[in-house]
Amino acid sequence: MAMAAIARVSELPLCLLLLCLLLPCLAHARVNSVPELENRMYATLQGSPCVRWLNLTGELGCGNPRRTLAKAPIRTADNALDSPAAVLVPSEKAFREFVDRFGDNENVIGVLVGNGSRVAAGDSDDVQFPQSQFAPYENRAWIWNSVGSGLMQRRFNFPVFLLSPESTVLAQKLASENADNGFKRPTNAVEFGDIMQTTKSETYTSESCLRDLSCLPLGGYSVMSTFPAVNVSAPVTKPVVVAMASMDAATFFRDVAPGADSPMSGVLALLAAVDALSRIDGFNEFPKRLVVLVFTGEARGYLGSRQFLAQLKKGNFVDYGLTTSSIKQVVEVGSVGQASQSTFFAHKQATAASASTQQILESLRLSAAATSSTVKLANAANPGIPPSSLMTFVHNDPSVAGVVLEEFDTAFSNKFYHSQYDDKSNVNTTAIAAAASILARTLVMLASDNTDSPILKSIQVNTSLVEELVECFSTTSPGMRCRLVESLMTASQDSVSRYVGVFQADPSVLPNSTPEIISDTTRFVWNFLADRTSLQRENLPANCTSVCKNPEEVCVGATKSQQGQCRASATRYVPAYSPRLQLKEYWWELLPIEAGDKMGAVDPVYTESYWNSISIRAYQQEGAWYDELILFSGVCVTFVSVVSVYISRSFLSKRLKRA
Amino acid sequence: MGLVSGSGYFLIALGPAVTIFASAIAPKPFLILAVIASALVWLLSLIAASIVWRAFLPGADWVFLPMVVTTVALQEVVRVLFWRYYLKLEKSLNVLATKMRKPHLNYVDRLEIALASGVGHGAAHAVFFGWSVLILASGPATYYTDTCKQMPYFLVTALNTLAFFLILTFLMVITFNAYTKDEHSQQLFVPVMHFLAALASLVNLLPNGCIVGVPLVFLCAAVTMGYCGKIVWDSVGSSSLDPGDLQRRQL
Repeated sequence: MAMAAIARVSELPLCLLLLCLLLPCLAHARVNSVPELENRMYATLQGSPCVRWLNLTGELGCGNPRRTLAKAPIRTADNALDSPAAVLVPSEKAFREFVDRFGDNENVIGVLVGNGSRVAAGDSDDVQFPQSQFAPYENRAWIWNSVGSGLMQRRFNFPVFLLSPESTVLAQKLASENADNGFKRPTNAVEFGDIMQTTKSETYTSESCLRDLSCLPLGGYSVMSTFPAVNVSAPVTKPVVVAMASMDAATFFRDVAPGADSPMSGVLALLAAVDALSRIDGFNEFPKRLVVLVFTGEARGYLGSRQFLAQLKKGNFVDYGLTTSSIKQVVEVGSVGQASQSTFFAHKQATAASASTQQILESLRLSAAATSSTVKLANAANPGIPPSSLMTFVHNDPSVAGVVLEEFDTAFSNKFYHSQYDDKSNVNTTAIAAAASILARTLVMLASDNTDSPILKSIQVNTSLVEELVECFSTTSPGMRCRLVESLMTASQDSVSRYVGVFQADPSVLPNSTPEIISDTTRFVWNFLADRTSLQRENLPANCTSVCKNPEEVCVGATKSQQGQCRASATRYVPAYSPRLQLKEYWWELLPIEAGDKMGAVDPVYTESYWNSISIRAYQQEGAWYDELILFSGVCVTFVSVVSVYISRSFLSKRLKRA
Repeated sequence: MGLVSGSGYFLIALGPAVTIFASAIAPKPFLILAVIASALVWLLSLIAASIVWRAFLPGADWVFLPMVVTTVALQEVVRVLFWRYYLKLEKSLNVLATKMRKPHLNYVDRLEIALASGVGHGAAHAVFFGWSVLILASGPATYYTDTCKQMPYFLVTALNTLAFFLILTFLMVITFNAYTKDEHSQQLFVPVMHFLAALASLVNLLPNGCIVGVPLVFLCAAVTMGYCGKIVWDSVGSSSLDPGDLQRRQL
């Protein structure tokens, strides 16, 4: 219509002269254009969501139960819940208390959790025995995590967001305005934009949503590296000592999982140990080989370790010189960032083979003694090893010689295990450096089968490296933009959550050429290990952006501002996802439980629902009756004009005829 | 409920416009052309004014007064030019009519074209000032300015749009009659009423001004419609409707 054409023509000066006659109303508010008006009307609240997860039996986490956007007036939790509301609670602890009372109330349309301060006594979103169903022992009632609230395992029928500090202040202001106004129109409303695909497609379990393509399985990429670098064309099958850690954490608000102590302190200790070992010679002569494994997905079903062992059994790592019989000893580094007075505890299973395990324990003890630390054997009253990747190895072979090095004895000392508060203030650089020293020496003793090797003297952990690593991985600033990370890669986000994420690609394709699907933490670990374990070359290394022509080489240190170098390193990505799943063409199929697969039998097979975008915004809204009144007025005005025009025309035409 | 109130605001602002268009303009294709042509002319005048004043905005509050005054003055100048151009157009149309052995345009035709021109002016004004704001009204949010806590901003916009549409439409009818009959009081009435209505809308600048400003603008609309009605009633009832009379009265 002409009006539309005219409107398009006038779009630009529209905002210019809009000020003139109609914006006199806004003169004092100083709105200078229509887009600015729109910005005034809608305020975006910054927040991290709790998303909809699913497992084999049902749903977890949070989501909008309707297909339309959830929106309601905002109020604080102390007001009575007599009408649909978006409730603002001051902290996560207050949220737990709120849902215990009102979780089933139909009037709860959504919840905003304010940026409250941490409770000194501790706070954990996980249960008191995390992933107890995977334990290789009977006592599933042992309390490893005393402050565990189990919030992560609950299901809520409304969206929940954790607000940033600024948005918390804004939300409080909006809620008190509503309260002062007596909740009469116009009210400040909050609109939750988080429609979950699994709700829309009505698939409420992992199996059905995977088949319906409304969700994706949780997973990522673990990193495997080795000392000395393996010659892929002629692999040497030496017996292997495995040094491993896990790099993922799980929290209720999935994007706020700093995981500084649990589990990153272990990863950082392992990386610092590898760095120390990269500066010594002699690994080629040792009777055993060292394999470094950093798993992901451990907090959500031991995905990394289970998938690794499944692939090992299938023979996928033969070119790596790894078979099921290669692994002689396993040393895992758990949470070590809070060790008081550099005292660590070695946990082992009672079924572990005595001689090999004894060698590990002895090496740990001697290493600690040489570095002014202490390693004690964990209390015999413990039912077994704490929740750790070692559980997967024990299930695979109960006699595996494995030890988990932790900062705690009978229960977690981390009061913020799997919590948004497990950040830099929760770890101690000295403890991590001490653990790295112990680990580096232990690994040399185990690989060389010699507790008195002269090489041990030259092992030096770089404490400033440890400090840098803590800065990069446990803070939001500089976070992943720190110098150390930037020298090896360009992170996609400023600070990273340790949430494992969803498995987006084809697991049979190595992701080296598509770095965007790999999480920043994983990519850094890969680059760091590749850099430290690569062989020295005689000639200049070739430049590269993601892949190298020589299959024995990998592209290390490619960033946005500089190309990487092709180096001979046997560092590779290993997909981490539930062995119960298999990618069939383009959808994930749930496989039947294999005989003897105890872990697969209890695997919840976590998935995360697809969603389009997640955001929250606040605005003033009128009551429904007011909107209807306006429509009615409009209809009346039009009706009156119709009648007036009709009457005028009949009068005028009569008069015309008479003239 | 964005669409509900959005439709409501649209009907308040443009319901009468659609009604007038549908009943008086649409049946005659020539009048539709007149609406479009008129709307284009008035849009260009508004764009010209906005380009000039863009340099002075954002500015102090008092800037609005000279801005409004000069814009209205510009529009009144354009109005006189519009009338003169219409006369030329009418002459050509009458020549064409003579060739086709059809009757010349008479006074009633002229009034209908005046109405169509007025609708074009009102539509240009509505689109220029109200369109994108009213589009925002179809979202879920409402908005209250600091100076007007009594009515949502969209309601004030819709009411202003309605009032100005009526004012501008019927001022054009008065204009055509004024210059046809050479009535000086009517010729004076048009720019004065335009200025008064524009100044009345400036009352909205003041705190709580919308309670006074909006009724004032509607008062102007009522006076305009009443005056126009009286003029048309008298003119239609009198005997001076023959074309010869019209020819003699052309400027």
